[in-house]
Amino acid sequence: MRIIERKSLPTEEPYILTGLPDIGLVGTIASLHIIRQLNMEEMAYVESDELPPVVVLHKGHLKMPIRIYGHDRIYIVTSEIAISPNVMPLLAKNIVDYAMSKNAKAIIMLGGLAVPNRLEIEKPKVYAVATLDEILEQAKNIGIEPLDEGFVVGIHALILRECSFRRVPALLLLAQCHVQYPDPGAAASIIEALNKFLNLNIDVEPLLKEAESLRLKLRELMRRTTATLSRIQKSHEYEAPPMMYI
Amino acid sequence: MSFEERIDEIFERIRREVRRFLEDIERYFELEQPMWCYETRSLEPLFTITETEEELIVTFDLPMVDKDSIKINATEESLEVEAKLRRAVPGPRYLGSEVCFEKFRKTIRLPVKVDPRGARARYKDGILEIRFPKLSQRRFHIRVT
Repeated sequence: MRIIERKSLPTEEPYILTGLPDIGLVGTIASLHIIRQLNMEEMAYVESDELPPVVVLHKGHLKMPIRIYGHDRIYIVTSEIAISPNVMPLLAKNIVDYAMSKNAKAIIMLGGLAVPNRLEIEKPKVYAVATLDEILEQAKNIGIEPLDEGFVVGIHALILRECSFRRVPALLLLAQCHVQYPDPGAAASIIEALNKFLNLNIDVEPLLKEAESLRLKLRELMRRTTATLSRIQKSHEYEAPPMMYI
Repeated sequence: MSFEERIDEIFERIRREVRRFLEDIERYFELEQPMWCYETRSLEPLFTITETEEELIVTFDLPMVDKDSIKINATEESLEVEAKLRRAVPGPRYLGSEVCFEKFRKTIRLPVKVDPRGARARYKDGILEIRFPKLSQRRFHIRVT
């Protein structure tokens, strides 16, 4: 697997954001909205024999399914296909390599935190997980609560692990969300948190307005992502020792 | 660990693997089905099934739908949901420009027997939630005389 770069931003120490398919497709929805709102340009794409044989067509133009967009001091990695478990370690490693090659200030992952009572929650809350205390402190200072207990599973866990080993500053933002349904409300909460963290001004109103049609369009990706996630969680569940022995 | 315990552990592992394998096959066939039906001009909604000790809870993601257009039919073993979309949604272009989808439609076989007469449904934020009392789990108080 490798990242093929077409262009590069002139900025030094950019932020690398990831919006990959996960619970509630929070990262995917957020990244698509950010790309559109900031009018970001395609910078690179991921190429690998491990990926499914898929290319995407947008207005007749051929695109690779996992792409990196850039604007100002931000790169964002987005994917239009579910990431299968066997590809996850390679992709995580490549994203961290890419961030290091750019001398990135931090990797910020956008994701969802499944809550069973999501229907009763008007405004999803955002939690933070970080590899370094300084970055978690920054998140706390702007009112993002740290996630104290729990498991992080999947691509985010692998990126966090890779960043921990290599001492790369990384922050995972998780918004409360539906487990198996696309959740634009949660994506809006994540963007608001990101606005504060990076001092951006991305309007979430258009996202909330088109929430219903997004939920309709993203059903297929959600179904495939759910199938992938349940495979990971199942194996994780089987392999994890009972908490009482830890 | 005793010999019997080791054998038990091995068999438990085999059971898990077989279960996973069967689930993977099921999922594979499910994923290969399109989420729309050309003949009925309907879309398939995402749905989830969860269980508590006494209830079976089925939810459907039904965006772009008005509560009044939702029709639910259930038996002890199956559930059928149909809901009209507020506006017709165009299908993929290769199906032809005249193909539009007008409703959601889904029939599912329930994993346990339920009492459809005791079911409750609510629709909130585009999500339909139906709660069925489980038939097998129904508890009756028996007096000792």
